Order: sequence, then structure tokens, then C-alpha cells
Amino acid sequence: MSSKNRYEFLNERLNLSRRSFLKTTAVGSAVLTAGGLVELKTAKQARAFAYEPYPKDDQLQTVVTSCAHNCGSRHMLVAHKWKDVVVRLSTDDGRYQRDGYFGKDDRVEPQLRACLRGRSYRQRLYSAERLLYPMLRVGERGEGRFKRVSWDEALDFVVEKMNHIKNTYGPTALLDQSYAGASFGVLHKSDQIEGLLARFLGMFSCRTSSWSVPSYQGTTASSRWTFGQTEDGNEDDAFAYCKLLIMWGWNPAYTFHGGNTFMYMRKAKQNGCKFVVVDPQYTDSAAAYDAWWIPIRPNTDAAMLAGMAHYIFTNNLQDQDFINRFCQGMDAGTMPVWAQQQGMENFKDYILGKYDGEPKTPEWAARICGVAAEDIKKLADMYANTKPAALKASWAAGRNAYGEQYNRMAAAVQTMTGNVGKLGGSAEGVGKVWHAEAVAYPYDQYSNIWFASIKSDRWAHCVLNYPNVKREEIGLWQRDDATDGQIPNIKGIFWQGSDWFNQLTNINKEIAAIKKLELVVCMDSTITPSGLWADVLLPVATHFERHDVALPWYKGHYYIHRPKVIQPMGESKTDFQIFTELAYRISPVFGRDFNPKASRDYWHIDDNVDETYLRDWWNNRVMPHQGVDMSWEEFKQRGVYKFKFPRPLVAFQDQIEKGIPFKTPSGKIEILSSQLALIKDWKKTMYGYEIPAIPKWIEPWESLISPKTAKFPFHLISPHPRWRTHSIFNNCGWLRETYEQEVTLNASDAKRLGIKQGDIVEVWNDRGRVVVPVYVTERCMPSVAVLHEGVWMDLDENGVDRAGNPDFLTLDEPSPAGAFAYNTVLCNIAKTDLEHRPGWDKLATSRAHVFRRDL
Amino acid sequence: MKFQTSLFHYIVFLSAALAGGSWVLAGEIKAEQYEHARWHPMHFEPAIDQATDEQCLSCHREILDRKVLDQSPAGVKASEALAWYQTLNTYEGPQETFHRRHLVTPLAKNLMDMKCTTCHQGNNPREEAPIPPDVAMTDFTLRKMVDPETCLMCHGRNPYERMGLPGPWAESRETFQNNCLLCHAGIRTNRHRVNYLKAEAIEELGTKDADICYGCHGGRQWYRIAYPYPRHAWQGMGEEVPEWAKDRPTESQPRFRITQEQASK
Amino acid sequence: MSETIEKAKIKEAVKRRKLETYTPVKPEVQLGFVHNNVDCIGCRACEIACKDKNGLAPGPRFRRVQYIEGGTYPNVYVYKVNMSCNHCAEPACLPTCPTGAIFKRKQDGIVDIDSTLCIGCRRCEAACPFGAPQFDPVDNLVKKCNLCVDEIEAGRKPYCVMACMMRVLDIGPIEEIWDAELETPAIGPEEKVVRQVKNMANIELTKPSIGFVPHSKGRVK
Repeated sequence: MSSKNRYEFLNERLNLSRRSFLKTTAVGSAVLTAGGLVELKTAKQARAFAYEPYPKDDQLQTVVTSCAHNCGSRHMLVAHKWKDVVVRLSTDDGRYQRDGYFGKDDRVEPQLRACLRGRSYRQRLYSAERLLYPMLRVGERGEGRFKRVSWDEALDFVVEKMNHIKNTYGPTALLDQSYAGASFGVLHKSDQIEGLLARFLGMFSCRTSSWSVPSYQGTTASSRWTFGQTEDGNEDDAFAYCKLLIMWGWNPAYTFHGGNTFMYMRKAKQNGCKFVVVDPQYTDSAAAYDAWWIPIRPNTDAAMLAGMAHYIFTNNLQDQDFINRFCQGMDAGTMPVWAQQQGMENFKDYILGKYDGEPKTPEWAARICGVAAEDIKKLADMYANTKPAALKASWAAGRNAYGEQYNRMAAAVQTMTGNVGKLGGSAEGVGKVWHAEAVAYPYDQYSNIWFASIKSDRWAHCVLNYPNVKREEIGLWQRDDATDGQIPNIKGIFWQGSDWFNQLTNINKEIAAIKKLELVVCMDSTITPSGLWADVLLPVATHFERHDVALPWYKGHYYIHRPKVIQPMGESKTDFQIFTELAYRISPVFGRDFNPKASRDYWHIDDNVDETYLRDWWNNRVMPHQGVDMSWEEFKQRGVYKFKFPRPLVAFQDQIEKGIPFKTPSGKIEILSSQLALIKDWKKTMYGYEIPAIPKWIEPWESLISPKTAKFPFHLISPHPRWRTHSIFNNCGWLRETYEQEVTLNASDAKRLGIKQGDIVEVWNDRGRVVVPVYVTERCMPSVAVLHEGVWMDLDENGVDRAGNPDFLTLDEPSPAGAFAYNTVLCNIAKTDLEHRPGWDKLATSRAHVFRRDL
Repeated sequence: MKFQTSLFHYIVFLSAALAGGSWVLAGEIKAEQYEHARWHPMHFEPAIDQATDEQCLSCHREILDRKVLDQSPAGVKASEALAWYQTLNTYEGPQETFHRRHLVTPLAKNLMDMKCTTCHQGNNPREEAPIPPDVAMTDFTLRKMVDPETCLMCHGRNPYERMGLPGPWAESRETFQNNCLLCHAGIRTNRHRVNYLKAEAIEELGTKDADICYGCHGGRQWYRIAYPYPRHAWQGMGEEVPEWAKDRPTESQPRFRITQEQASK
Repeated sequence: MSETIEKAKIKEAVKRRKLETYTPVKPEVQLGFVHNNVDCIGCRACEIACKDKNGLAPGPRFRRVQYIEGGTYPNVYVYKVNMSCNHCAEPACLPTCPTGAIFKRKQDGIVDIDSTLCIGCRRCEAACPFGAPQFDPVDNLVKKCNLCVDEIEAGRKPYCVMACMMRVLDIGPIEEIWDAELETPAIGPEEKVVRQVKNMANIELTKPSIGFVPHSKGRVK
């Protein structure tokens, strides 16, 4: 630079004319800021939150509400509002409960802190994917082309079609595929069995119900048979009292299943509890609790548990007193007379190989499950000799072919060691114990009317093969009238709070089936991959936009008030409003009966009616039934009611301590199930196929010990992701930033296939084909591939899913008890030149990938 | 400064790239191929060692294209901002971005010869750390894509105590006639002879103005420690190694060593 | 430029400027974070809470939960190192800033950036050994964690800390954290706190105000 230029350059920048100004102010600013390092002619003092306006929390309106979706927990969200806009969300900090204060957080009343999904709620609430107006399909079904229409047009369209379908095809023609995905509250309830849609279609007298629950049908079946109820769990604070906790396929660090489960488990660890993880993956739960990782081949859990039972029996480590007092069919001595007379098998002799000449030794189990016999023995020894010890048998291993056998085997092992009904032990299973008063919506004889009921993942099979379908193929529920065994003629589907088209098994078969329907209605707050296949999209207000009360349905004991935080966006209406109005359009009587506290004005003004339902529920049910002394008004003002229990709730404590009978037919823990033992004609049950009366290992139709591995050498599992609740939140950029949809492979497998980190692969079997990036790791068992469920499908012109939805590969073959076989999948994997489509504008945030990419 | 304009580099390497045919350039990549491009082998060892600036910039060209704001949201004009280190007389031109200051501005072109790969050595963006984590492998520093130790080579503290100065250079410069070469004419290492600097130009300018030396050796001292430079031998170096220099290597890291070709320029 | 060029005046000013070196503020109390690398489940609720609080688009991440995994099947391990801004005692970002946008608070040692003064030169981003300053490509500016000074001033704790489902992230006076004297659920019974873990940049570069309960595989000697 020439010296002349240089002086000009400096003269421009140096504060020559302002020296006096700087001299006086620089002292203060120098200390506070850059130490006098900077010369600015336009001197500005740096300060916090210089952006205006930056509203601080205390300058905003604070509204307590909760998250809503289908994780089993309901954590608190606190909206900080400016006018009708949620500016930010925080969560429970101890202030909102009675006698609360900032930071209050103890065992009895812990804070209900929301997870990453809940914290991203503003992105769902204000997402570009929100449905704001009713839409009618204009293209081919599945093409995704819609036009905006008025509510009148949309509702009249639906009513006309409903009437036509019912009159033409009869009372089984409309399939209820509601689910707890979008609207699980005490009033605005979407639910598979008894929600608002069930009531609506039932009262309309045209409803085929879907009875098997995708999440945990194997587990609930097992708990009902074994313990007589699904409430087999302990409240989450009970985990703090475990001395040994075996997390069997359980990853609470991903699911956040239960209010503060993971935190109480940390307390257990600090109290010296030892942790074991039996899982094909070394999960984050395994890491956080420093667990002994036992990698196991998917869908072989019952075999390993049988091997443990063998070790326990042959070393006489079982709690024989407990068995003698509480069990039916655990061994010869606990067999009921009727079963002995019929020469039925008991569990111990099955394990010892008395019936089939095959003792279920740890060595036998090792050949099936891939866990060394020594490790099986060691774990069995630890479990039998540590008191109390919790075997937490998760749902995941039950989402398998014969998943119910795994859950029943686990229940048998829990029982033989005397860990049922004891603090620090566990009979889970399902895992629920505390009962919320869950129903504020109208609940009467119309609540669950159905004319046919099928296994939920057999609808496509039913539609495609009607009328040449056998009842056992679709798990038809028995009826007491002449229609028993009648195959439903399904011609329409309703989705309410449900993305089932994306979430059930064998999507390609669903695609073939849906083309045969005459009406597909989707009611949701955002567009969903299911919605793209609908004929009509009805925009539903989120739980931020209507009045309700949240309840946890898994663990946790509290209610959280959900006021109408903001006005419904666009033209969205609540589910309850939509059904009420549809009912009125069908007939005024229907409308009045469907929503007895409302008039037809409910379509326009729902506040007073919803308030009445909720207040009545609180005053007539919660307060008297649950000993709550907080008034409805106080509850509304505070936003949360936390129940306080003198001791952690433990399922079956009364049965064990006070001798109260179990709710099974025998009053015992039924290792031999009376119900199953007495079934003669399996085809006439909803199971369709035989289920052994005692827990047994049954080889699944696809697994790593199958000869099918010659063609499809990988076992695919599809666990729940942390960054979505099933498919909800898949569209949130903040969450997308924390993960990728990718298939996890063990490093040795990847090496063998010439695949390295970041390669794009095809994962396929005879049912479908998906394209995803690979995550190569040592944390996954060899020959196992992991692909998280719930990603929004994205088909290319050849029917290949470029988004990587594992349900293109799953089989729509449920277990006899109804368990979805989500994790019973063999597949193959190879590198591909096809592009993965993450369904989100990655280039827009590529910087995060290139420079700051985590995970 | 012959052969040094970026444009010239571009042309040379573009031809090379097209002739070689093995490298991907931005023009060949469609937006939907982002996933594949992101994991292109060029981003990783060992291929990244051969990557040219032209190849890097064909995708990451916003590194040079992007300019600072004319004024900040609160109205601070870039043209009127001046950090203390910008008063050094090698420092010129308008406010520039960090990358441009290291690659294309006059100081960068005159005294440095930095390439994208001088700092960016490529690592797996999915890996937070080497497996197993290794304290010795500081080039993985938990999410920084560039090892701060590389920055430290120029932006470390001036270790005046080791030079036996009575105080920091800012205080003692008058005592030494503001002339680094007063001492360092004799105590000369050849540490500027590395492939990311232009040693002759630095030496030449350094004789004219000690601020040139200070500009790197303490002037822009973002970090509070000094870089432990390799102890290149120089003529007349004492036999005894001082305590603080005992564990030091005697040569630069191999990747910074100057090649014959460069040395002849 | 209306001002006339007075060479002598400029020379004097330059001379004065050259003598300026950066002397970090010595805060009355230095606040900092503590994170339990082992008990953290890596859920990133803290990250999302932070993004919501600060209104960030996908891209810039003030807080970063970093996963470290190692070992060979089946003997593997995983732990997390969670950092936002470490509010260093001697921040490297601060002296790089040509507009004085970055400052360190005397009362609590918080290093903050007034992004309204930022011209987007990204020097601070490059200088930080820990990746704290985050470039926002939409605004063409650098932004970063300010430890939620508004919450601190209201007598509460930052959003990330109050988001932690496992209660393994906390703040406090950093000396108390390093001595494991701070009463906090982040530090378990008998647990010690370290200032550095493996693969973290040399803390002597800037003296970050952060403590970790390390994983056994993450310890440095």
C-alpha cells in the first residue's frame, strides 16, 4: 500500500476527532468490553440482547401446558406468550405446583421436564406442514394433489360418502384407524379402541375396529394371561430401589418412557445398582448406566430367558415358597387338578426337556440367541441371587413373531425369582401401575360399538382378498350374534391422530389395498405421509389450540392443565368439533347424542362446552375418586397437580403382602394360562392360531437362525427414534439436525460389504426396498441392521422408498396374540448409487454438516 | 510474486482436474446428490492431502465470495471499524472475512502461501473423536474441524520471558529500538521455511519493520500460550539446549515441510 | 471523507493503538458449566431448549452434545461431552473482534456477543478452540451462548440447565465446580470434576470455565 493510501485508510478508521470522547468513555467500556482494542467512529456499547424487542420471560404471559404425543409420558411445556404468539417454551422448574418454588425437584414431586421433542414444539405448531384448511384430493390417490375447499364442502363430501358406503356395503365398511398419536387427552381423545372416532363411527353403525395395538400387543396379552391385568408396573421412582436392573431391549434414553424413569435409574446407579442391557445395540441407556452389554440376536429372547430359567431350576435358585404360594403351572406341584387330569405341560418340566427331550439349557439357548452360555448362566445367577432385582422386559422384544412368548417367559423368570410385587423388583411387562381418571369425553353404551374387529395390520390383506379371507387370517374377534365370523367388507378408512399408513407393516401391500377404497379421510394437524393418500384432509387444531387436560398413561402420576394457549390456526377445528358437526349433518339426533353437552353452535364456540366437560370430570371423578383436594379453579390457575404417594407404587404389592387374589381365573400368577389352556377351537378366537398355555420358545418365521439368511443375511430391527415420536416431529428442523435417518451396521459387516461411513445403501427384501445412508459402528451386533421407524415415506418412480422407512420391509403377519412382527425382518444390504432423500432441505443447513455436525 | 494469483491457480488446477478426471467439481454435482458429495473421498485422508484449492472452492466458494456486512445491524460501519492489530502497516484494505484474510488479501498473498488443506485436513463429520479417543491426537478436538494448534503457530503468545526480555514487547520495544533483528539477526531459525509461508518475503519485510514480526509473534495473540516451535538448528546455535526447549522436535511436521519445487521458487 | 488527513495525528494514534494489548477482565465471580459425561443420556433437550430460547434456525447450534464412542465389539463404550460457550477466563474470540461486539462481563465473567455490532467477519468463530461462536448464514452474523443472562439476572438458571432431564448439566461459580464443592445433582456422590477431557482443545489456550465429570475412557493424565 502506498503511504498516501495507507494514511487515508487509517484516517477513515481512527477516531481522531473523537479522542476526547473515547478518553472519557473508554475507561468504562474498556473494562467491560474489548479492553480498548477496538476503534470505532460509530462507537456503540456492546450489550446483552441488543436486538429489540427481546422479550424476557417475565415480560411475557406464562401459560402452563404440556406436550401431547404418543410417547407414554406427558411432560410440562410452559408457553411464554406475546399476544397470540408463543415466543418460546420452557418446562417445569418447580414453580407451578402447589407449594412450589423455583428449583423444587424431589423424589415425591419431581419436575416434569420435557424432552427434546417437546422442546421443539413451536416448530410443529408453526410448521409449514400444518394443515390450515380443509382439502379435497384432485389427483390420483397417493399423488398428493389437493385443492382447498370450504368446511361445508369437505364435510358434505364425507357425509355423502359415509352414507353411500354404509348403505351399499353394510356396517363393516368403514375401518377405524384412530390412534393415540395426535390427540391424547381426557377430552379430545384420539384412541385406537375407545376414542372419539370409535364413538362417532359406532353411533353411525358402520365400524370395523382394529384391535391389536402396534406398540405392545404381545406384552399386554402376556400380562393379562399371567397376572390378570395390564397394570403390571411400578411407578418410576421405584427404580431407585433396584439392586440389579436388567434392561431387556429397553432404551429409556430414547423413548423417555415415563415421567422421570431415566432420572430415577440414575439414582439407582448412585445407590450401587448394577445394570445389564440385553439388546442388539449398545444403547445410550447402556452407556449412561454403565451397563454390562449382552448383545442378543433379535427375536430370540424367549430362548435366552428359557436358558436362564433352566440354570435357575437346575441350581435350585428359584424362590420355591413364592412359587408354591402364588403360581399356577410353574412346576408339577403348582399344576391345578383340571390341568393335571388333561395331562397338560408345566413350565419347569418343559424347561427341563421332559416333554420334547430337549432340555432348554444355556448351551441350547446359546445356539439360538448367540449369547455365550457362560453369559447366560452368569446373568441368571446374578438375577437369582440379587434381591431385589428388576427384569424390565420391554415391549420391543415383544414386537415380534411370537413376541408374546418372550413376554410370558420373562414373566415366568420374574416370578420364579420372587421379584413380583416387591419394591426394587419388577413384573414389567407393560409397565403401568397408576390409574388416571382418563375419560372426560362422553362415555356411555355408544363408546365402543363395532361390527367387526380385526388384527390392525391385516386390513390390507382383508381388503385385497375380500371375500376370500379366512377369519383366522385377519384375527377376527368373536361376536355373540349371527355376524360372528363375517369378513368385513372394508371400503373406507378414517385416520384420526394416526399416521398408520406410514406406520403399519408392509407398506407396499397397503398401497395396493388403499387403491381399492372409496373413501379415505385424514384428520390431523399437519400433512402426514398417510394424509397424502387421503381423499379429504380435515385440519385439526393442536392441543395448544383447544382446552383439555393431559395425563401420563405410562408412568408418572399427575395432571397437567392444557388451556387454549393460542387461537386455532387457519380454519382448524378440534376433533370433537369435527365429529359433532359431522354427526349433526348426518342427523340432528346423532349430533345431540354424540355430544350431549353441546348444541350445534359448538362448531363455532367450543370454550364453554369443553370447560363443562372438564370441570365435571374434575369435580365428579378426580376429586372424589382420587382424593384430590385442589379445586378445578386452582388447578387451572396453577396448571399442574402432582399426586404425592407415601411410598413408590409397586404392582401386585397387595397380592403378595396381603394375599389378595390376582385377577386371573385362578387368582394365581398363571404361568399356565387357564384361558389359553381351555381354548378348543383357535380359529374362532381372535388369535386365529394356537398359543401354548405355558411360555415356550417358538422359532420365528424370519431370524438369524433361519435358512432364509442365505438370501437375506441381515436381521433388521426398527426401534423408536429419539428424534421423533413414531412419525410425529419428523418435519422439525431442530430435531432433524440431531440425527439422520440411517441404517446402523457393525463395522465388520460394513467392511465385508465394502461399505464405509457415509455410503448410501439399499436395504431390501421381497417386500420392499429403501435407500439410506449407513452408520458404521462397533455398538451394534454383527448381522443386525438397525433402521429407526417413523420416517415419512418418499417413493420414487420405481416404488423405492428414498426416505428409509423400515415398514417397507416388515411383514404384515402378526403373531397369534396380535403382536406386530415389526422386528421380525430379514433383509439384504448393498451399496447403491441411488440418492437418499432426507425429506428436508439439508443444503439450507449444510453449514451445520460441514463445520459443526454432531452425531 | 509470480504464479501466485488465485486465478492462475484455478486455471492450472482446473485443467489438471479435468485431465485427471477423478475429481468431482461442483458443476458436476446436483443438489440431490448432496449426501454423496458430502462423503466424497476427497473430504478425507488420504485423498484430502491431494485436494487443490480449486477443487475445494468449487463447492465451498462462499468462503471467498461472502463479504462482511457493510454495516452491522446496529449501524456499525465496516469501513469505520478498526481493531488494534489492523493498524499494523502490513494490514490494509477494507474489513474482510477470516477466510479471505488468510487466502486472498494482500498480506495473505505476499507473506503466506496457505491452502485450504493447510488447516482443513478432513475428518469424518460423524466422528467426534478418534476411536479410541487419544489425547495425543489433538487434530480431533471435539467438533472443531480445524485443529486450534494449527492456528497457534501464528496466533500464540509472544514468550518474551524465554527471550530474556524485561517485559512484554509492547513495553520493552523502546529498549530494543523497536527492532527484533537487533537480536534475531544472529539467533536465526529457519522456521519460516515452511510451505504455508513465504520465507523470503517475510525476511525482507521484517528487516524494514519489526511490526511485521510482531504481527504474528504475539501481535495477534488470540491464545494465551506460545506455540512450541520445532527447534530448527541455525548456524552458531549454542550446544546446550535450554530447559524449555528440551522436548521439542527439530523439524516441522512433515506436511508443512517445504518441497524442492517450492524452495526453488 | 471530510476530515483532512493529519499525518502526525495519525502516526500518534497508530502508535498508541499498537501499544494496546488485550488484558482479560477479571470477573468478581466466574460462572461456568458443569457436565456429567457419563450420566448424560445424550438426548439433546438442552440443545433444543437453547435453540428455542434463542430463536435459531437449523444450522447454528449454541450448545453441542458431542458423542464419543470407542472400543471394539462387544467391548465398547460411549460418553458425551456437552459444550456451549465456555465463557473462558481469557477468551480468544474477544480480541479478534474488529467491532467490539464481544465482551466479558465484570460481575460474572459471562462472555457475550452483541450481534447487532457484528459485521460477520467470522474471526471469533475461527479463533475459538471449542466451536462456541456460531455463524448464522441467514443473518450473515455470528451469534453465541450468553448463559441466558436474562435468566441469570432474574435469579434463575439458563434454559439448557433447566431442560436437562437427567439433571447432569448445571452452572455455578467455576472454582466451586472444579473443587466439586458446588451442591448440584450434576456431580454424583464421590465424583471428581476435571477441567479437561480427551480430544478437547488445550485448555491453556483460553482457560475455559467448564468442568466435567469424566468417563474413565475420557480422562487425561
